[in-house]
Amino acid sequence: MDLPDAELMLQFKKRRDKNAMTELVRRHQKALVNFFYRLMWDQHAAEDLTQEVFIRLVTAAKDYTPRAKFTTFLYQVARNLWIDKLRKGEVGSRPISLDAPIDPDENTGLSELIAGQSPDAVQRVINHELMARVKKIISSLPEEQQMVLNLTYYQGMSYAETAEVLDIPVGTVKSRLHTAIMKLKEMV
Amino acid sequence: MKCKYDLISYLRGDLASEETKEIKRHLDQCTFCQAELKKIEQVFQLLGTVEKVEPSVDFAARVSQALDEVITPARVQTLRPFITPSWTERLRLSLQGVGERSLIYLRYSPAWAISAAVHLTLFGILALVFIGPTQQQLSEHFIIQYAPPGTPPEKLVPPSEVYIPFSDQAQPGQPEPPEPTMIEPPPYLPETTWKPSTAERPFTPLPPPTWTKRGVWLERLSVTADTKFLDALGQRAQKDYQAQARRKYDGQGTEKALAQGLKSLATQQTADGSWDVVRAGGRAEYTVGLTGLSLLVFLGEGNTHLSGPYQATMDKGIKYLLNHRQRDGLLGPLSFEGHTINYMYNHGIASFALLEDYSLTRDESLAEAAVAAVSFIIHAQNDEGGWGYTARSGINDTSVTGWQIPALRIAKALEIKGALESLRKASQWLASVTDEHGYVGYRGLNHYPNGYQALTAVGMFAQLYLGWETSDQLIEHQAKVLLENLPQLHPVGQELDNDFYYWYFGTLAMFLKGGEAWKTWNQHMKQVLLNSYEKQRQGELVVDRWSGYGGRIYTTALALLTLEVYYRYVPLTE
Repeated sequence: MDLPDAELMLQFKKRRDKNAMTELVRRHQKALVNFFYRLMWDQHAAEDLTQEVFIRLVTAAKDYTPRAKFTTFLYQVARNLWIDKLRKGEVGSRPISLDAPIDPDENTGLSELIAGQSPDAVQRVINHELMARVKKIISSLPEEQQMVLNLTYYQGMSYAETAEVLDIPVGTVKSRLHTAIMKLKEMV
Repeated sequence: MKCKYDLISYLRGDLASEETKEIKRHLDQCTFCQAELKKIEQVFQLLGTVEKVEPSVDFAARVSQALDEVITPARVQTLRPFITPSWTERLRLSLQGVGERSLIYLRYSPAWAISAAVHLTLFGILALVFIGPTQQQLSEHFIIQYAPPGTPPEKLVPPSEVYIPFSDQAQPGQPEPPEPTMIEPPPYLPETTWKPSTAERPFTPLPPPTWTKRGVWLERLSVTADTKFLDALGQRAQKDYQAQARRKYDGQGTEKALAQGLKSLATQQTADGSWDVVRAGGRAEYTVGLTGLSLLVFLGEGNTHLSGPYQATMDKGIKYLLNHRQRDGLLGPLSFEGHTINYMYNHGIASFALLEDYSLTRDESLAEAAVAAVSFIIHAQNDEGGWGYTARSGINDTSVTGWQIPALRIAKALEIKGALESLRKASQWLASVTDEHGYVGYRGLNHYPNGYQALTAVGMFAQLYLGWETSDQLIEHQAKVLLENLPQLHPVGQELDNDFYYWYFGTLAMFLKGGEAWKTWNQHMKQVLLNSYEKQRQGELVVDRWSGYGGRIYTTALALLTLEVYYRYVPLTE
């Protein structure tokens, strides 16, 4: 029997049952690691932050009431942690540690990379420089736009849920996503 | 002119049906919006190229430890389950009872481990008193428990002490196997995922009767079938067989492309026996898997590390695989540049090559590595029957699973212990993600993050390979799905729609099924691959959706393997 997340959280709140928390870790670790990974491109740092989220959950449990979806609550915690770290300068200006050196010829447009006519350009598509470039472009967006993109696209959240996590109106979510996509489009 | 439609929400599927319809109508007329939509799609496609990371294997364990500190700081520190040197050692320690070392173990062991130790002690004493276990009886219970990946070397059992009998019965007159080693649940897995109660998992195994109904499971995996299977592998190297098979299954016209491809693939092998994946545009962490894939191409032509025109290539390649094997049987590294990699792809493909080579040569010097590789596959299988990127991750993945099955099938024919049971579980898992129309999901029923075609091909191939009838209703549905998605070479700009992986598995599946469906598929497949060969010859690079991982080695090897289908296997109807 699979208890819903909120039930597990309540179980933990009432009985400090570690198994309940462990199950929550099992269910959400991957998504959270990826959530942070897309903000900093560093798996180890992302794992450290994910671990901190779960520790914060333990402390926050006493005030937990299942008003909203559990994931909304979880990502509020994660997002607050991220903001705290940003403020303290611990995650800084997100230096991009890319797996591969960036293409020396950075002025080539991505669309040329994709649809380039010369075998040389096409070849570049096939190695993961394309991915590195995309990462770099995402990182160049303002934090608030990255966050909306992260939640709506990579975490697959609805506009309403994203709005709740970030505590902003739905309209703002839409406009931030729109701005982000338009910028990405220009770079393509 | 700028229209005011929210195309982003439209693409996301976030709009009410009225609004969606309106935009659809508008798109039919407005070329500006069509272009805009295409651009946004392209942005989404680009965003999708960013990889998903898997948490490190020890991540859950680390979190668990950190949680212990905040949940109950006063608790006695719990050590992770430990590896005992051997069962006799464990028994000795337990019998000492009040010995100092036992006390340490007891103090730091979790309650279940203490309970297990007590029970084991009791069992041990009872066994010694009443039964007096023989070596063979023990080996039945404690046969080869592999140390998990990542275990520090000093904790590993040297391979020479690892013994796996090829059959359940010990042969009279053979040397007694060394004492088997017993290892606790792998420490790299958190306790919660190691022992999941089936009640907690949303997985219902199919009831056994389905199997007898679902075709010829037992027949196809019977001993007679095994002999046929191994004979069929051997045929490839026979003189004239390739030409005969090509004629018989309509593979003419592919000879030149294949010969050229083999030659060029062989020249790309590096001095250490591997293939330079990075230079070919792929990722270094998949070197072992892609070396395995390249070796399969040469094996497909009947070469082995002992014979054939490409004997030297094979020999170097197999040595490379053996040099990159971990002591627990895993082929290839566990991590690369500090990151855990999706090592089950490497391992499955490399094992497949190793097992083919071993089954063709029966060279004793490969036996241990081959058996250990299979045992690792079995060890890595999830309880549900599938495999994920990493061992026992709890995530079942049709694609990774599809690459473990071929090695296991050979292992079954070679009577390697556990292979049959593992195949049965794998087949059952695949059945659980196959819907009534034959569509196969990625990590669950109706789950198709990258389309259903390739997964359906993998599922169809595996199930045919393992015993479903070619006339089975589901197989018929699947053949239809494949025919609706015939191989097609996409023009420049849409290369990412090419999918050699789909063409490879689709070809295997259709070939095994045979009949009209195969004929149609074969015509398209041949044309696509020969066109792509022609393009490459003219200096154009043909890439596909997964080229970013495997580069040219990947596409070339898969294309060649696909073209070898005529003699790599035999249709099941024969």
